[in-house]
This record gives sequence, structure tokens and C-alpha cells, in this order.
Amino acid sequence: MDDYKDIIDLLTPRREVKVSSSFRERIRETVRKRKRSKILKKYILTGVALSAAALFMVILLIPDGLSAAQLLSKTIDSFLGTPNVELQVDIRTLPRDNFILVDPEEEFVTHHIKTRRTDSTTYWSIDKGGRTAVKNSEGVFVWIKEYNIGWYSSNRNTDVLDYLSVFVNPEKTLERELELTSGKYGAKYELKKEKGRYFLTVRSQKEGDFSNPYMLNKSIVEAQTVRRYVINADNNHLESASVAMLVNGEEREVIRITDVKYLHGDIELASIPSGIRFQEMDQLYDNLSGFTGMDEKETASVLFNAFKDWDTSVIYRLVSPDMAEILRKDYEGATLLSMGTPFRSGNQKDLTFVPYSLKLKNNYIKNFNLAITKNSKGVWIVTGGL
Amino acid sequence: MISRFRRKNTDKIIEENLQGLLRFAFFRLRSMQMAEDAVNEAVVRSLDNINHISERNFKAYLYKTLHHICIDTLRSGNLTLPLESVGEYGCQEEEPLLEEAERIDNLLDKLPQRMSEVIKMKVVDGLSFVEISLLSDTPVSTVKSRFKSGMDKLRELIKTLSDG
Repeated sequence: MDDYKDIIDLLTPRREVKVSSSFRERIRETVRKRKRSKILKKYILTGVALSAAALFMVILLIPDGLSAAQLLSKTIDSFLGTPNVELQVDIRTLPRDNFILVDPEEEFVTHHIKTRRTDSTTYWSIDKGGRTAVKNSEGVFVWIKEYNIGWYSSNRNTDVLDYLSVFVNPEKTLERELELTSGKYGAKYELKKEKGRYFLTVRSQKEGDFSNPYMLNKSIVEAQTVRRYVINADNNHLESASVAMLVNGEEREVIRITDVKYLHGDIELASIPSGIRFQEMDQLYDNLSGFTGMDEKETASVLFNAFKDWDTSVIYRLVSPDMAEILRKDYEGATLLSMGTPFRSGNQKDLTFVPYSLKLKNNYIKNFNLAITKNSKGVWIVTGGL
Repeated sequence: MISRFRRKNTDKIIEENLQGLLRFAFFRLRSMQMAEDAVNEAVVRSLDNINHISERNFKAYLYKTLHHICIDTLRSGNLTLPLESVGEYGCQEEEPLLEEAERIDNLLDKLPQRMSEVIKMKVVDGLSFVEISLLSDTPVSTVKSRFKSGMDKLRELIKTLSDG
């Protein structure tokens, strides 16, 4: 360190951040509240479940007296003692689409998930057929082999999986549930023990603004869900899990773990195929220059009108060039018929949707919603909906 | 069950690291109000997960949680504050700190992010290599090597600038 004294001096802040007395008191109060809620929480949640259905009285007073939080904590420990895990998960989604998409209207797509642990970190891969992601020592990579296109980030904490991250780190499945025991998202827990197994059921509410319901039931957090876990009472291993969305008052299963293997030998993660053109994720949208001064509807209009003659001087400013060229075969020559009022929906706070009607060159009329957002330059650019 | 002894110790760790945590958040979010909110949220999440954090790693876990919160906040782009949320720190008090944050970032901006982040955590945030390793899920040897490479590179850049 002494070798770098001159640089360290340069980098050392010359002014110190002051902790105000009000902030110090706020933190003390937070600590006090958390201590109280740690004790009260499980009883409050238990009370909710009991009042909901007398059936669960037995369930919640399981013989060895474990609370849901304690059970989850024990299961986490069992994963931490296990080097590698292999899971097979069926999810209602589209094979090439983003990992966030979970839609009760779609068919089940099998996901192969592998987790490899080293002393200091966890690596994983997830393959849903059309789209694959891997976290290795270089960073996080996502690719679509069919299009030879991919994205990468050297930041290994980059989240590309949204809710599915709970499956690539299996212990996070339960850790996430443990976080939810705070009742922050209005989740209710039911726990019972039967024939050497714990059965944990979690019921959670949807998050977001659904005054326009477009994004309702398009991801786990944007749906009312029932999540069920079966845990071996002897070794605390997770044996199976499933997630159902409530659609029109009825449960529709959207995620189911069909196989869990705890492995003590080595495990091969998905390998990155050659020939993929990778782009830096963090710069993907920031590199687009957009059009200063245009609102979301004007931006969408400019893009659609550029489709007719495939004017790349416009399109490449709004859509990443690699992605634009993949879209070209479908959208070149298209003409704009109409556009609706932009709206927001669900939990995507930064995303705006612009309804459109587009006549493609094969005369097909496409009615859909263009997804646009502002990048770091403050201009609207296109992220989806084509 | 969490022992009373352990609770007392975690309280102490939070108290002792409050200034460091606030500095960590401020130098990333550039707003004292948002930094305070982020630290508060990190404390909440860490205490909620206290059952499976060893006491030895509690400080690193606090910083790791805070790091994630800062990244999420920056990604959400929701860095604008409502007028009524301006707290004890007025704009005048925040200005010199913002200038400092900018000055340091300008120096580090020239380095690859993986190096600049390690240097920032080590020098600005005062974390140990082991803590940075735990916080970033990176082996200690890699953290040290990134620090050394980054500092060497920075020295070269500064020399080039001053020569030029």
C-alpha cells in the first residue's frame, strides 16, 4: 500500500460525510423495530393464516415447532453444504424470449439449470432452448444461438434472470421466501408436516399499477401467485416446487420444478458457442442516440415510418443495429396504419407502451404495443414490442 | 434463535459502520437523502436475514446489500427527489461532497470498471481486501491483483497527463 501513497492521497476524499443526528436516530429506530418484528412476525403471519382457514391450525403448530422462517433457514443451510445442484424446471414462456416472461397463456418450456460452486463464488447456466445464459468467471453472458446474437456484462452481479434467479441459486428460492416473511409484499404462509416432508405454501399479491392491465400476469411479480415447496424433513433438501398464477380466480400452474439433483462431483455448465456477436449489456441502450426533444409517441412514429424504406439512419438510433437487422425480414416495407395513446402498466416503472397498428409487407396487420424507455442520455429508445 | 449477545454485537457493527455505509452510498448515488434511504434499507434487509449470516461476515453482508441497493437504484434511473424530501442536508452542504465524489470518479473513470470499483472500495470506502472479496463474490487474490493493476494503470495515466 505504501507504494501507492501518492495515488491514495489523491483518491482519499477531502471532505467527510456527516451522519446527522436524525439519521442516526432513524437507524436506531429501524433496528429496534426489526428486533420487535422478528419476534412478532411469525405470530402475526400465523394469525392471518389461522383466521383465513381453521384447517391450518394443525399445519402451523407442527410437532417440532419450526416456524416457516426457521424451516427456510434450515433448507438454505442444506444447499450451502452442497457443492453443485442440477434442476429441471418447466415454465410457461416462449423459448427465445427474456427470462422475465412467464405467461399462463403460453406452453411449458423446459429449462435446464445448473449451479456450480467454488470456495468463493457460485457459477450457473440456464438453457431454455432458444435462449441461454451463463455466469462464469468472466461475467454474465446471454445469447440466442439461432440469431448468433448475445449480450454480456463483466459485472457478475448483473441480473438477467429476474425472478428465475431464485432457481439458478437454489438456496435463493427459499431465501427470497424468507425475505418475504417480513410481510412486505403481503404474502401469507402455510406450513404443514406430513409423512417426513414439510409442505410450504406461499400466497402473494401482484406488484405494480394495473390500471391498464396489459402487463398483468406477464411475470411472477406482476401476478397473484401461489408458490408451493416440498422439503424433505430429514435432510432439508428441496424436493419439488411449483408456482401457479391466479387467473380469473382459478390457479394455473406456470412453473414446476420436475427434478432436483444434489451433486458432489463436478458439473459442466452450458458452454458459449462460437460465432456469437456479443454486445456489452450496459452500453446496449446507452449507445443509441435517439432523437432529442421527441416524446414517446413521436419517437414510435418516426421508427415505424422508417420501416417502409428501411432507413437505418433513423432505425439504428432507436433500436440496436444487430437486433434491427434480425427484425428486418419481418418489418422492412411495413406501413403505419394507426397509433394509440401511450400507457404504463405493471411493475415496469420506466417502461412506456405505445399501441400501434402496422401493415407488414405480406399484408398481415400487426396490432401490438411498442415498449420504449429513456436511456441515460434522456432520449426515448426502443426495448421491445416488435 | 438469535442470541441476545449476537444482537448486541450486530447493533454495534451497524453503529460503528454508519458513516462508512453512508459514504459508500453517497459516493454512488450522489444524493444524501437517497443514500440515507439506501443505508436504512440495507440495515432492514440484513437484520431480516440475520439467521443465516455469521457475525464475522455481518459487516461485509451490510455493504454487499447496500451495494445491490445502490445498483438497483442507479439502474431504475429513479434518482429524482420530490421537493418535500429535502432533509437536514441542504444543497449547500451537499455541494462540496458532490464535487469530491465527481473529482474521485473522474480519476477512476479512466480505468476498467472491475479495477475502479475495487480501488474505490479499498481507498474511498476503507474496506479490507477480504471484505471486498466477500462483497463482490470474487477471490481475494483477484481483488488484490485488480487493485494492484488498477493502481499501476492509474499512476501511468496520471503521469501521462502531467507530462502532456
